[in-house]
Parts: sequence; C-alpha cells; structure tokens
Amino acid sequence: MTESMLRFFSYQQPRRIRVVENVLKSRRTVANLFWAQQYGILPWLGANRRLSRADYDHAIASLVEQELLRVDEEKQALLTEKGVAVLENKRPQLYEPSFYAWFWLANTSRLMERLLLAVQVVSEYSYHQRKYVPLQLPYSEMQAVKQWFRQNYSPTVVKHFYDDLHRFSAAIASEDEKLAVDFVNMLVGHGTAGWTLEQAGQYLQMPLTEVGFLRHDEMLALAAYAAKLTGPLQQLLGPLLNTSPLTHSAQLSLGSYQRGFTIGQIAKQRRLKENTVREHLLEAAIMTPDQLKWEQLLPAQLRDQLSQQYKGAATGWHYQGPANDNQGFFEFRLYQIYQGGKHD
Amino acid sequence: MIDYEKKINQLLHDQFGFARFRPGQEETIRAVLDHRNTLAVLPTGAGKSLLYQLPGYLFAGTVIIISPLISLMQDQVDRLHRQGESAVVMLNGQLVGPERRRVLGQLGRFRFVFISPEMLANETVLAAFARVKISLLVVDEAHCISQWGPDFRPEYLLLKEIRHRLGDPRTLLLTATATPAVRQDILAKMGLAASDVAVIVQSVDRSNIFLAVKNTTGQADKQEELLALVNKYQGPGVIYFASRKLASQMAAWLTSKTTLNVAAYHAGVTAVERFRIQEQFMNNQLQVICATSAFGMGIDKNDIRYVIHFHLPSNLENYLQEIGRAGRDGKQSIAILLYSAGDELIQRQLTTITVPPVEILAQVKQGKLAPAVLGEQADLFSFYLQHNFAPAQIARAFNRRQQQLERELQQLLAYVHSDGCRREYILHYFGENLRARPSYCCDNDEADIDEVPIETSLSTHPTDTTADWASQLRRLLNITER
Repeated sequence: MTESMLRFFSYQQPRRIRVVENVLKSRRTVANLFWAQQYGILPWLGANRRLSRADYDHAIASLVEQELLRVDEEKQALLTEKGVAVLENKRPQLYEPSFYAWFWLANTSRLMERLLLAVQVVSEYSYHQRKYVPLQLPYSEMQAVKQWFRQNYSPTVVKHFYDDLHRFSAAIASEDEKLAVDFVNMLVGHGTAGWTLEQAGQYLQMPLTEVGFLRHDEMLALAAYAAKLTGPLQQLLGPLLNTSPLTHSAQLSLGSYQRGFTIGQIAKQRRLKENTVREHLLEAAIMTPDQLKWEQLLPAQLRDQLSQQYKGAATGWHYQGPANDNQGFFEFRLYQIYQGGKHD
Repeated sequence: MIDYEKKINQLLHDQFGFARFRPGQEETIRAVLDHRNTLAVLPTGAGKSLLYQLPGYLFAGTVIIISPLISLMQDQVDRLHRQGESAVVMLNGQLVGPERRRVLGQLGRFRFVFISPEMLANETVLAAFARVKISLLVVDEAHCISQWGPDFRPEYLLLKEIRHRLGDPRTLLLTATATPAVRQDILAKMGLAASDVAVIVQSVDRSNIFLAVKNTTGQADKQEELLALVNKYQGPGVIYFASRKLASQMAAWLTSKTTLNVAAYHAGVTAVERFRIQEQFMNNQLQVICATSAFGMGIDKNDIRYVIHFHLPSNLENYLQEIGRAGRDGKQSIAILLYSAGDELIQRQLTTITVPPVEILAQVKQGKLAPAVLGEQADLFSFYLQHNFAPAQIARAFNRRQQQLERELQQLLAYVHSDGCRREYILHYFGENLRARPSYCCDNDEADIDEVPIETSLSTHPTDTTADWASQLRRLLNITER
C-alpha cells in the first residue's frame, strides 16, 4: 500500500496527512470534506474504510524515509521530486477508478455483504441445495436478504436475478474488463467461496490496496445501477442507498434555509446549536453547491469585502477574524469554498 | 430408556451421519439423558459438539451453549447449518438494538442458543431466558472457569451465579484439556459437588499425531525450515504464528515461494474474507492456513495433516488444543514445533501483565482515580473491582497467575528441550501414563522424522477462476442456455 499512497499528495500543494486518512476512512466532518474537496480527493471518501491508523502512519513514515514525501511540523505533506518520479513510474499499476463520482451513494462494505449473501442464497437455490453454510452477517442483514428472497420467490427468480447481474456485469465490462472479471469471481455461491483480496490480486496482477479500490469502484457502480434500473438488484440494495450526498440532518437544515428561514430560526426549530446549522450549510456548499442560494448566503457585497482581506490561492488563507466569531468564520469558510473552485 | 436407545442410534445415523460413537461420547450422552450434571474431558477432535446436539433433539426446550469466542460459536453454528438445522442463534456483543430485542423476544423458538458469558450475565438477557424452557446448559471450554486471571474471560467466574438464576438447569461442562486439579477447580467454581457430577475423562493422547521439535539457529533459518516442511508435506496444514502481521507476511511469502495456495487467517481479516478462506480450505482449494494462536479458528476439517508452530504457544494445554486440529480422521499426522533460542521472550512479552500497586487499585475502587490509570488491562482490573474483589486479593491473584504463566512456559520449554519421549512428557503433565506407544511416536523415539508416513496432499485443486466472467456467472446460477 505504501507507494500507492503517493497519489493522494501533490508537489505543489501541502496536504494534511490526517485529512487523507480520514477521507479514506469516511470520517465526514466539515473540515475533512472541505480539505478533501480542496485537494481534489473528495471522491475517495470511504474508499478504504478499514484502513488502520498504524498501517497508515507506517506507510507515511516509510515514504518519508525513502525521501518520497516531506512532512512539515503541521503534519502537512508534499511530494518530493523523487516522489513525483516514483509516482509517475507507478502510475500504470495504480487503479484508475471509473465510478468514484458516486462516492456518496452507499457504504460499499455493507452493499457488498448484502449482495454476496443474496447471490449465495440464489446460487444454492439454483442447485437445489438446502444444506449449506450461509455467509454470516449481522442478524438484520440476514433477515433483509431472507425477506427479499421471499418477495422474489417464483419459478423465474433465478433467471431474473441472473439477467440483472448479467446486465450489470456487461455494463461494467464495457468500462473496464477487470471490473467484471473481479466482480463475478468474488461472488459467493454453490461450490465457490469467491476470490479473496489476495487471490484477486494474484489473478489480476494488482497490489492488494489497488484490489480494494477496484472493489470499491465495482460497488459504487452497482449502487448507481441499482439506483437507476428496476429489478431484483434494486429491490435488494435500494434500502442501502443514500438519496443525497448530504446527511439527513443537513438536508433538513438546508430545506428550511431554502424556504427562507434564518440560521437562528432553523436552530430554534430544530433544537440545534446555531453552529451546527452553519456546519450543515457548509456541508451543502461543499457537497451540493448548486443547491445553495449563494446570493442570499454570501451576497456580492460581502464577497467584495472578503476579497480585500483574502487573496491568492484559497487553500493558503488563514482566518483573520476573532476566534469566537462563529458567523465570521462561517462566512470566511463559505468564501473559501466559493473561491476554491467548485463554484464558478 | 429403551425408546431413547432406539432414538439415540437413529439420530446418530440419520441426523449426524455416524455409524457409531467415538470413545467417551456415548457415556457422556447417557449421563446427560439421565439428568446428571456432567463434566466431559475429551481430547480435541473427539466430537464434543455431538454431546449436546444429540440430546438437543431428544429434549423439549432450548439448549444454551456458553462459549468464550465468537469464532468458536460461529464454527458450531456453521456446522449446525450444514446439517440443515436452522433453529440456531448466536447471542453476542455484535447483536444489538432492535435485532437483539427481536431475538430475545422469541428465544423459545430456537433449539440451540450460543451465547458469550458476558451476554448471559446481562439482566435483560437473563429475564428473557426466564420465559424459556432450558433443556440443557452447556459450558464449552470449561477450563476457562479455572483460568483465574488476565489471560481469560473473567465472566466465567459469574457462571455459578448465572446458572442459579436460570433455575439450576442440568449442566454439561466440556473441555479438551484439564489436569485433575483443574477438573476439581471447575466443579468447585461452578458450585457442584463432585459426588453429584458424572465425570467422563478420555486420554488427551492423540496417538496418530507424531510429535516433533525442530531447533533452528534464528529467524532466517526457521523460515527456510518452514518452507522445506511446507514443500514436503504440502497440505492441508495449519501454521501458527505469534502475531497477525507475521501470519500475513508469511502467507504471502509462502504463496510466492511454493505452488500452494496459502492464506492468513486471524482476527484482522474481515468476516467475508474469513468465510472465503474457511470454505476454500474445507474444499482443498487452499492448502495452508497461517493463523494466530490468539484467534480461535472456526475450522473443523478432518484431514489436516500437519500443524506447525512458528512460535511457541503459551503452554502445553494450548499446544495440545492447537495440534489437536490435525488428524481428526485418524490418519497419520504430524505436529512440529520450530524453536530457536530466545523464542520464549516473545511468548513472555505476550503474557506479561503489569499489576498495579494495591493503593492505586484501592483508589480506583473508591472512585478517587479513573480506571484508565490501571493501564492497558484497565477493563480487566475494573471487572474484578466491580465484582467486589479486594485490591490486595486482586494483586495477589494476578501475581500468582504471573508466576503460574512463567511455570507453564518453563514446562513447555522443558518439552522443547526434552530428550525423552515427548508423548510421555505430555501425558505425565496431564496426570496420565502412556498405555501403548504408537508406531510413530515422536522425534526422540523415532530416529528419522522423514520416515513418518504422512500422506502428502492430493493434487492441488486450483481455485475455480476464469477470465470469462459471463460463463462464470452462468455457472454460479446454474444457467444452461447461452
């Protein structure tokens, strides 16, 4: 995994090493989301949920030792020239995701578990096998799959499910054959327990970390497929899909805001701290900028004012107002997001 | 009883697919059916799960099985599933919220309930069991009751009280290894009078497992020795390591150095990956598993031909448990312990525990200090404090336990360095005598370990894989048309 981490860093832009770690593990604080967006790595949110602190720190330390990365006192890292060269050299081995734009659509670990059990159940059923060891998942997941199978139970259940899986596999194969090969071979069913990560790595000639990213990509593609196309997969996975890139609570705050309520009013209605509502709006500014009424939140006059104070690349700015001025910091951060590129 | 007689044999044959009982099984089942509290000490691989599964089908009500490790429970649950039994549930810390309430609300519907001791100590859970007819209470790995101290689950100490709260149901205590002293201690801690308990003991000896120790000169030498052994014996085999990291590294190394399929299997591997590895190993698609001792492996495979220890186990009890995975089919198998001078330091590091001073313990008990000051093992010490053990008593017990661990390690080292018969040494340790020496006994009796006839693995059964995803998908769902 060590050298594959280089892809998250830049030669020009110092990047906080904790932000990179938190993004991969899907830690959704506004600060993480903001910096991830600034670094252009937001789509990697949740791409390696099981990454451990020890492994990550070990990888960073090793990159520093090899003089591929430089980490400053504020724990920000820059690629060295040697690092850039190694990264370029490694590029062909690094997996290039196709579906990470859907990063917000689902927790891919949960999606995969449910899919695997469902495929196993239908596969064993297709071979008329009743005595087998089901994949052990949390009780509620097992119940969900059981219920799904009961609802779809008919003489054509196997064929329908096969058609749906085939349509999906063909779709991802047209994007990258590897996706379909790994997807089908990792499935669990009659007489096969599916590829482990190591086996996929051996077969596809990919390092383990990259196999993890490949599988994350397959699952995001599946999520997008299930969100759009009706069929057994949609019935199975639909309940696990998010309807918005925003958390539920942020959606509610944003809704009230769009209906014209002020931050203070929303906080009162929802019994939240005003600052929590501000965080919700910042989350919306990062994740769904098009849904925000920028003119209302950050009027031209305020932008002019801020532009006098903050110049140059937005990521280099430091908040200059008083530390306890929450509204001031909120406006600063909004402006930073506004200028930071996403919203032109 | 005549009815039972017929039923027992019918069940054994129809439900479990066995023609006859293995040594110790029938006596134990009869004692249980006679409503006696029973302690069965049967060696690993003797078929302990049958002892409660079979009565489970004869009694009305629910069998509760207390098990210390999720992986052990999982193994049992898997086995019951394979037999087509679906009235099985596992109650542990992973089951929370509404799911847990739902299961607790319908406990009586399950024939077998597997539960961790700490879960069973929970008031809500006990209340739920009060509404259920308990046909049998089973304590798996019952030696844990006797392992007072840091290396096991203190909740086992609560079992006497829990059993009483459950209405003193008929109880079956199961263990693979227990010295006579430990047996006595188990009964005492459960509050059972020895005269009221049927005790069934089978020899711990596994005569079809050849015992060997290989001395190596250091890490590199040991690694080469391991490679040679794996190449020689092929598989199925299990190799034990002291750390997850090394287990993973060595699995990768062995994969690259041999033509075998090797996988690491430990607590750091996800549930889905564990499932894959387990199934592949069962089907001989994987030949070698690199495991950690700390992780109870939920694999019940009859034809494991060898168990190699890359590091020392903590004591002879654990060693016997771990090598007991080999040769359950009765065929010649081999257990090899690789040793290089100083290996005991690793083991000592793993089992050492810093006992906090009595004054500190006392202050935590009085709430003057946060439990966090007790260090890494804070939860453990807190448990004893919460259950009204005096600080001085705790410190004394832990220090004693520490000394005992060291003694056990020394006894293991004596096994390693022994130039006498290794089998006799082990039997003596468990209070037994060697009755008959097998033809292939140990490396000290047999001049040449290479003469031990180990059936090397059948042809390598490659993992079923294909780049043709479409045909693989058809095969998966049994679709014949193109």
